[in-house]
Amino acid sequence: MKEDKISAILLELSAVAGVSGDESEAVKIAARYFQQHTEEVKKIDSAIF
Amino acid sequence: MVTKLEEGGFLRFTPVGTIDPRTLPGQAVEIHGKKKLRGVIGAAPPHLLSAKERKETVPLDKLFIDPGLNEDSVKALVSIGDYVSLEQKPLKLKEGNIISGKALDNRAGVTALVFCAEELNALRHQADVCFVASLQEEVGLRGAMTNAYNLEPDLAIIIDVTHGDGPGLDDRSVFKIGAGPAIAIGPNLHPVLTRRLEEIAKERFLPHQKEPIPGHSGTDAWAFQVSREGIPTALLSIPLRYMHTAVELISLDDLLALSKLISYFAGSLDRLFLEELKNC
Repeated sequence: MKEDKISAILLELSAVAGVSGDESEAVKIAARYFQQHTEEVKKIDSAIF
Repeated sequence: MVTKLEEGGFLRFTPVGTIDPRTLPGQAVEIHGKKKLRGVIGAAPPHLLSAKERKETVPLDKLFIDPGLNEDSVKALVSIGDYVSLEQKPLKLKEGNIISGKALDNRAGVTALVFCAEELNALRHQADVCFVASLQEEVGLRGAMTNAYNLEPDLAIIIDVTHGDGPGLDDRSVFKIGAGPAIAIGPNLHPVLTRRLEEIAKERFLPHQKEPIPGHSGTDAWAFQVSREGIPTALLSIPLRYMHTAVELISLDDLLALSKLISYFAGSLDRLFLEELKNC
């Protein structure tokens, strides 16, 4: 079951476009998953990226 | 990145970061212009090349993107500087245990962190653990620099990928897929922190491999290690085949073992160990 869960996350992350300077789609997906397990999700480097 | 709009609606491009140019001809791409467009990477057909040219890898400056649109439409929708990404959809191989796709370097690392966060919810741990998905590693570790400065952690464990095994490769330079994450050893990494990770892997019967790196690790560990007055840093890598191509390949077993190793490590952290790190 763990493998299924992990592969679902990885497949979702790998499917979206990734370009330096705009990882916004992948960031949104990652944030959604982290939100389920962590106290706080924040973007700390928005000033330069 | 698009560098030139050619006559006839074709686009010239240059890589951002490193990509293997041998793998580009024939790839489907997504062009991030005023709206998203699909395209294919084309090159002159072999029938029209000289015998010498047919034997050589097509250089990047001979490749172009064909969005299948006329010149006016391309000019209206695409600008110099627009980004282009590979369109490869990820694949499940070996009954889902092996994953192949683009950007597994390093979205596999982000996935490992998500699972690690889930595991830590079930463990008692004293330490505050921050999970960082940093940007622009491929163009100079820039996200790692700002994150290391901002967070000022007591220690850092970097997750990256390393070269997986395969036909024709020197087995001293590659790591077996499915045999566990590689724990890096070398001047970029803190010896006490690295040793502790190895000990935990052994105690918990987690498969792992050792990766000697005599200099620059080429990872975010390089930036973290020298941030502020220095941060004790370790590096764990998932073995990955076909690095920087659209069909990078990893084993979920390695990803799982890496997540567990970090979870158990974080669960074991106490003030005594942090003092030991500071004093060595």
